[in-house]
Parts: sequence; structure tokens; C-alpha cells
Amino acid sequence: MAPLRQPGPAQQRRAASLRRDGALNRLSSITGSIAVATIAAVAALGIYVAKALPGHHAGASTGATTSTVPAGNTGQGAGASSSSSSLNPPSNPPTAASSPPPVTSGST
Amino acid sequence: MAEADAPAHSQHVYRTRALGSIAELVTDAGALFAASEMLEEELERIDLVASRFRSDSELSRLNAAAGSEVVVSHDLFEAIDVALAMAEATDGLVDPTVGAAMNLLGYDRDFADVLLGLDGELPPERAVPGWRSVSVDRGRRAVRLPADTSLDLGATAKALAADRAAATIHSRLGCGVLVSLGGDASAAGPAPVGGFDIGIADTCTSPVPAEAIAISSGGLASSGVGVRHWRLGSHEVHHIVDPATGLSAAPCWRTVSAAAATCVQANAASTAAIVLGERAVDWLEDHGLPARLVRLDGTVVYTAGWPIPGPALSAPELSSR
Repeated sequence: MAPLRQPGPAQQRRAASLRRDGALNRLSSITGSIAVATIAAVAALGIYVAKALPGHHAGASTGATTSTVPAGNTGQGAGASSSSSSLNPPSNPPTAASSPPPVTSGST
Repeated sequence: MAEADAPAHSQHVYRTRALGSIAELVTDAGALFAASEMLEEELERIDLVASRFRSDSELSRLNAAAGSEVVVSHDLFEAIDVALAMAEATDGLVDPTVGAAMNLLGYDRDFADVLLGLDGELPPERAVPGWRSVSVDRGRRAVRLPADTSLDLGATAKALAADRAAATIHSRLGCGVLVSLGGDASAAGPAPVGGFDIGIADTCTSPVPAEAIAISSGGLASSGVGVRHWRLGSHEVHHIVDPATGLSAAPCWRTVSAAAATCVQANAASTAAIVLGERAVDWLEDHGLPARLVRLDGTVVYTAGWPIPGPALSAPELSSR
């Protein structure tokens, strides 16, 4: 029976090198996963904050009020900018009131 | 003191005194409290920025610095920008450079002090400096008034505050809302079925409006000579100055109410109509603006699709164009 041969110095260096490469690959993979997860989390947080900021409301109103509104009646009409240098009629003309008005317009 | 009422169809009203008049807010019950706080913030801001009667307002400091360039806040720049835009839109009928003319007529203090009557003589006719004489640098928010020129943003600043408050409340809370500042009303967001109901009267404090209409978007404003008028010596004057003469506009209409795409535009239209006198009817028709004009004798004229009331609400004499 042949005697068990001890690995030579070159083989030991190669084995150590393989172990080191393997560890580095695992570390690189973990770091990449963390980076992807971080980017995804920041993106999700950004979308959430954008929706929460004033002027960035993107969703519809609650169902109870939205259901009462005729189509095309959810905002100011064409030329609605306050600094527009023109005079435009309302997108929906005034109509006769159906109930006693809570507020009054007149000279002040 | 503020109060809250609950009118028909689940819309609730918040009411308070502000800007020398009454501020009202109509919205869903659940949004009323938060909306009222936003309205109060806007009222405080516009008063501090654009009041002609507060010595500590930014407008007063700008007027005092006439002749020099002044860098102003975003809020004041917007108020001036809007006033100049409305001057352009009305061909100068509504001009913010009437401040000095208003002072010469005696309206340089709270109206309660003017109402009692003033000593003095009517100033001679003299056109106001004109809105084109105001220099603005948008990039630096810099404004330069000609020397001896004073801005009066009263015609548009209150309406701008109504537009801004309504837009802010709708944007932040998602609800439909009507904001009325001294009868200058702005609607934003989903309106209730049939729209927001508004009474139309000679004065916004009238307990019984002559008519009632509903708007579902844009703005509604009323201008008139029936409230802010006073005696200057032996002359009766009022607060709507004709920029061409520097004097109170010749009386023709007691009250004009107009609807437009925004409250600012509605206010400019109703004020311009007072200045235009008899020509206002054709002018409003040409612009397609629904309006109700009440002559000094009470006769009512309607333009451009303003809803003519039925017999129950009709005025003594009606005519429509």
C-alpha cells in the first residue's frame, strides 16, 4: 500500500486560493443583494412620499363624494390658472340652485 | 368668532370674520376641521402680505419704497403677478395702480373709519399711472413701482386667496370645497350633486338673497357700490376707481355678479363691469361670461347663460341678453 502523500506547497496555495475566491464570491453576491434591496426600498419610499406631499395627490377622492360628481366636473376649467391674462367662462355654467344657499355673494 | 353650520346634502359650513368681511367654507363634514385650519392659514398669509391698511404688511413696505426695486416674497409676487394679469385681461379696467387715487378719495384706512364721512374736496380727474408702469423681474421676484405710485391689490388679492385656499384644501384633503371670502367664491374638487349653492344679493351679509344659483367649478364674484361708499366733503364716492379718471366709477350698476373659470377672473369681470357702466353688458357677452347686473333702480340684466330665476325668486323687473 502506497503511503499517503501530503499535498505539496503549491497545492496548498491553490486550495487556499480557491477557498478565498469562494468566500469573495459569496460576499459579492450578498453585497449585490443588499444593494438591489436598498434601491428597491428607496424607490418605494420615494413613491410613497411623493403621494403624501401637498400638490402631489394622485388618487381619486373617497367613493362617497366621487360617485356624486358628473364626468368632467372635478376641477377648474380651461384657463383656470389664476395668473392667466385672459377671462374665461367656467367649464360648467352656473345653474339655478335647488336648495337654500349656505353662502351669499354680494357687495362687501 | 368662527362657527359651523350643517346645511343640506351633507355639506357643512365653517364661517369666520376675516379681511374686513365674512369668510365661509363649505365642504364634507369629515374634512371641515382640517379645511378650516388651511383656510385660516391662507387668510392670515394674504392679510400680512397684501393688506393696504396694515403698516406691517409687505405691500405697505413695497408702496413705501416706490421708485426703488424691491425683492418681494413669493406670495406677494404672485398677488402682484395676478393683479397685472387681470389688468391686461381687462385692458386696464381693473388696474392695481389705483392705490394713490384711492388714498386721495380718503380710503386709506379701515372702512369703519371712512364710513362716517370725510372732510375734503374731490381730487381733480387724473389717470392712474397704469399697470404697464410696474416693472417686474420674475427670475429675482423683484418689483419696481414708479415714484409716487401705490398698489391696491384689493380687487384681486381676496379672490386669489379664495382660489388658493380652495385649491389647497382640495389638493391636500381630496374633498370638494367652496371657499367664499366676502362673497368672492371659488370651487375646487368634486362638487355635490347640483353644485355648491350660493345666494346672490346686493350685499354678502343680506339675510335674504334675491336669487340662488349653483356652481360646480371655477369662481363667482360680486362687485358693487352699495356698501363701500362714503361722503368726501359734499361728494358721494365709492371704492371702485376708474383708472382713466382716478375717481370713483360713474354709477350705473348697483351690483354685478359674474362667474368665470377662477374667482380671480370672476372678480376682475365684475369689477370691470362696474367701471364700464352701460357697456358692460356687451363686454360680458363678448367674453362669454355669465353675469347678473343690477341697475341703481333695481332692474336686473343677465348675460351669457346666467340662470334666470323662476317666478318665485324673480326681481321686480327682469331683462336678459
